[in-house]
Amino acid sequence: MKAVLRSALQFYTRTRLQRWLLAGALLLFAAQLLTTRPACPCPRSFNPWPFLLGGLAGAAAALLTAASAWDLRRISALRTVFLIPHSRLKLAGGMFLAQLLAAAVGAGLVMLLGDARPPSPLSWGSARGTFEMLFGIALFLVVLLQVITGPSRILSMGSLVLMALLSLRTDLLMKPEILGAPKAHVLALAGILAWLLFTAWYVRAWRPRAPFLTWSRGRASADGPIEVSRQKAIRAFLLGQPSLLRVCRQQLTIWMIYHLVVIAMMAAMKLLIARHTFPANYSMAIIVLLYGPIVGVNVIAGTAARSSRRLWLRGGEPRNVLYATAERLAWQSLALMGVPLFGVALLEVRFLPHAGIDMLFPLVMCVTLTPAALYLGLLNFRRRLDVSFLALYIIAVGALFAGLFVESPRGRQLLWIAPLVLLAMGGVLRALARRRWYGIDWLRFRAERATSLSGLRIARS
Amino acid sequence: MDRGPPPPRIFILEPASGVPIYRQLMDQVRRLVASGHLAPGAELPSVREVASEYTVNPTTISKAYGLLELEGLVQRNRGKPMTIAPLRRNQQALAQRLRQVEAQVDSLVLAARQLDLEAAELIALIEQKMQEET
Amino acid sequence: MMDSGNAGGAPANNPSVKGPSVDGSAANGSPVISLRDVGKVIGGKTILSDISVDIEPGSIVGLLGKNGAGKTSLIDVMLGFSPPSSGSSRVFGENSFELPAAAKRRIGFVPQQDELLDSLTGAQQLALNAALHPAWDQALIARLIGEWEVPLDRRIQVLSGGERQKLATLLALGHEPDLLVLDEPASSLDPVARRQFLRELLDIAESPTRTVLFSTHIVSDLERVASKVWIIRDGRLAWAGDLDTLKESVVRVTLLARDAWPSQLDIDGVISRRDEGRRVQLVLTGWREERQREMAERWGAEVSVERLGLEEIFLELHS
Repeated sequence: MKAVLRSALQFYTRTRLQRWLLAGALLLFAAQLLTTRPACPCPRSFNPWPFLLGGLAGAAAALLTAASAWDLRRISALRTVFLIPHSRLKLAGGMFLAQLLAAAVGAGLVMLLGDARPPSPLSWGSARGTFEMLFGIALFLVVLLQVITGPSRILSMGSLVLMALLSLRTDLLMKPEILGAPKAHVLALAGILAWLLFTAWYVRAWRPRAPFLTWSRGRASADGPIEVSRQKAIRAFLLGQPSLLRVCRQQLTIWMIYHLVVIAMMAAMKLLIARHTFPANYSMAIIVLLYGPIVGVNVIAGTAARSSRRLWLRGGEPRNVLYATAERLAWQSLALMGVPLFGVALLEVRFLPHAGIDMLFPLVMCVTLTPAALYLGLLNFRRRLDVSFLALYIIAVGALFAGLFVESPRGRQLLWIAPLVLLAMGGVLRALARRRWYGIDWLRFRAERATSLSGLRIARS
Repeated sequence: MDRGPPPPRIFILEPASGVPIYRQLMDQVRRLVASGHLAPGAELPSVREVASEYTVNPTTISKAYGLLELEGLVQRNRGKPMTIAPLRRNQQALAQRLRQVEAQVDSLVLAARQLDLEAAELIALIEQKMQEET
Repeated sequence: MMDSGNAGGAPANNPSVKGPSVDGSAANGSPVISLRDVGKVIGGKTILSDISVDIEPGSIVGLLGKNGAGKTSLIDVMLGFSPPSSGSSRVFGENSFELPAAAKRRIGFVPQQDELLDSLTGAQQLALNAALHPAWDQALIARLIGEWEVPLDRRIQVLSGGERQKLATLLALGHEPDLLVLDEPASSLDPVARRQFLRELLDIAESPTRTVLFSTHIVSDLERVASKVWIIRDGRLAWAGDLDTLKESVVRVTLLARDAWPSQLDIDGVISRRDEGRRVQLVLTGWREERQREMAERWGAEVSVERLGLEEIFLELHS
């Protein structure tokens, strides 16, 4: 029992990043609730605050849930956890309990801070209704992520398609009743059902594989000598994968998934803030596409930086040439990812409704943010997950809302200095990156190990 | 080719011993010569063969052989394996020769003490053994 | 040809065993690796200090030390992955931190944590490495793949630890480097694989121009193949010299007398001491044959000498 409780808490608070995300999500959610009260001094005609805060809270919560879902799979793949009796039952129980707790906390916040008008018992705003909705959605999201990263390629693809379809019909989730039953009940039941199915597989599977292991199966054995050019070899060593295209394709896939998940989250937020009816607004989803190349290039540049050690002796080049190679590779990856993602985003800006929010400014901001992200990645020799991406995210989202808050034309002119600032920042970071690479001391940045010891602490006891 | 090279496993080398490998080899060659197992003219296995058979560093083997050559116990033949040098009456002084077996005598005396053997009994045994050798 | 091993160099009460720090004997050419007063400090913590040592071509050097003593850091500084905080490190006469490509091509390195690419098969990884080295001996690799039974068609991610280690070692051998540096190369290998690996090392080292440095905690392997031993303790070299000299120099002496022994014994080079009534056991360095008689005469005691294997010596140096 203690193990289950411990697991539940650990899933959301294991790393420092998760704790920050949790605190952030709670604060933003609370703030968002406050801005929906009549007493709030917010603009009457169109109140962007619930949307802004709710969106940020939702994004933080989504990241947090994704991290914990990932943790669950990664921990269960460890051999040592496999040996602990009933470890998977404990972990699954912990995950269930964690969602219960999250829903309870959310419902509690809504009760404390939300609008005081007593709603009907099963709708948003009431204790039971909120709880059921949050609980169901949280469980469903967890299971969805498990399936996407999951054991079977077909199921992963199928669930992605399902998500895409759902995101197109979010209006279905807007009504107070689904299929004749109250929305809260349906959502809760759907979540529990999904969870039961997942747990049935999870507990009885021989050994769940680590996430995404079954995705990149690749070709089987290669017969005969394989001819590889020197350039290709250098690239493969820097990326850790045989080809740049493959890496970019992975990134593109991840970001399209995230795009769809955010659309779904937005739909959920919409039905949770159902009180306010505002026109369909895909801006938050589009910002994900704009943000994708930023993080993508950051990750790839970071991988190149951390892998550059492999080339010190093998490649033979001195450090400055290694730097030039990695930089070139990062720019190539930016082109390969940026063109599709920014292109799709442009199309969506043109053809999807975004409630009059100016998307041009965020677009330009994100494009000018990519060099800074690239060089930040090249500087990242130490960690696999660099917290700088949070800063980048805030800038990207901030750009989205800057347009909302700056009304005067003079103000808007000043706003356009921001992209120039970002480009300048990119230049500064480039100088920093060059200097760091020219004197890089790999002994200081030894690679981290992949196993997580806290996984053992969770499952034992 | 009536006398082919002896199989390399005439030695017993223990890398983990406190005695360095080259010294073990030297001691064993000396003993084999003294006991007659290696007669003058007998071929020694090459450095390479020994090193490969026991998986030890060839430099230590060649050091041993080099030192034995200096002592005059073995001789190098161009293009052919090393052989035991022709027998010469051991010219070392008695004291020096006795010193070479002193370590063994020490362990023998220790064992005898532990087994409560008298010096006379031990000497009798030694004399018996010495007569057997010849 | 007797070694000029510095057998009696240790001053009293100094628990380190000082061997020859610069090999003055075989000077076939300039040293392959040359370290002078190398020190390394990271974040206030001193990882290495005062390391001065050379490696001559044609030797097999074993690097022995406890976990965390600085073995991997020393190798990192030697090969140019990390600049020394003080002193200089040179490989093939060039500064390690700025090794030119020609020097790097003569180096083969097997790191402790292998740097294999998980998503590739063994064959693909070999092809990548071959592409980076103009001189790649495919015949040698093919032979070793057969002898060592290295699986080439499965993804590296699913290989066992020993198979990964074998593959990583192969990658370092393919371009026939003049200097081969291995960090814990055999830790995951079964005894058969280890023996095969040692044979290959000896094969390589036969050539007088090729040098091997390997760090390990498997002492028996070192005793077999190494000609020189470096013992690193707390970031310093406690011994850097011949293995044979080390074994001859460090002995355990048991002194048995009529009365109890005084607490202060004026003997040079004592590393450790254990008292049991009338018997005292000392581990000494700088041993010479004559000392046995000297000690017997001086105290009128029975002196018995026990020679120590490398593992024992290592343990005593760290007790």
